[in-house]
Amino acid sequence: MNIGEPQRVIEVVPLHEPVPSEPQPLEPEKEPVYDPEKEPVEP
Amino acid sequence: MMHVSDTYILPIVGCRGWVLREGKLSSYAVDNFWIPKKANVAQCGGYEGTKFWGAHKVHLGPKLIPHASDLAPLAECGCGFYAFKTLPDLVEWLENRESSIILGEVYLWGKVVDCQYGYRAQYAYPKRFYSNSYEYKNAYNNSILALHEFNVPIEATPQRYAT
Repeated sequence: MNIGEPQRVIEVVPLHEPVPSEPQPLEPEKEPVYDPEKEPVEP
Repeated sequence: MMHVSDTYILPIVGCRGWVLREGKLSSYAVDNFWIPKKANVAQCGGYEGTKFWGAHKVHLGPKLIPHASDLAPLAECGCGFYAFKTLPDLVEWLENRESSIILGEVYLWGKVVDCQYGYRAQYAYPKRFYSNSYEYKNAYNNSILALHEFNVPIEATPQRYAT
């Protein structure tokens, strides 16, 4: 590829690397724990 | 030696071509496979450590001078990840070249040699591939999978530059 002669040298320091990350595994859903104190009270 | 003149915080986007070799994405002119989901790091092995392909034989390829590999790209050498600044420049370069080239855009960062019509960079990663390039349309399914591994969009070439 003929991109011509060098003009200058620059430094590019991105805040985030533009590389897609591996998808994170989803956390398994937690089973609801029965808590009698949180039982809804009938009006 | 040319010294760093400016610092930027956004990656540069350039336009370039790749080929599929042994079912993997490779640079066009040299034997360099691109790694999915990792920043690809430029190295320079001089003429002895570089395998040129196609028309890019040693005598026609970029000028390479001996230096420490981890200094790539060096302004005075011809090393680094190449890209044109614009798609029209890339399309012009493609004329009279074999059609087995995948086109796309590429992110460039780290140390970057800013040239007249393009860049040479220390780090690179594909930004998108263009799906209506000849090689893409004619590649086998497992080759296409090699592109999908990069987890970047595969889109149609802008209409006015479609081959």
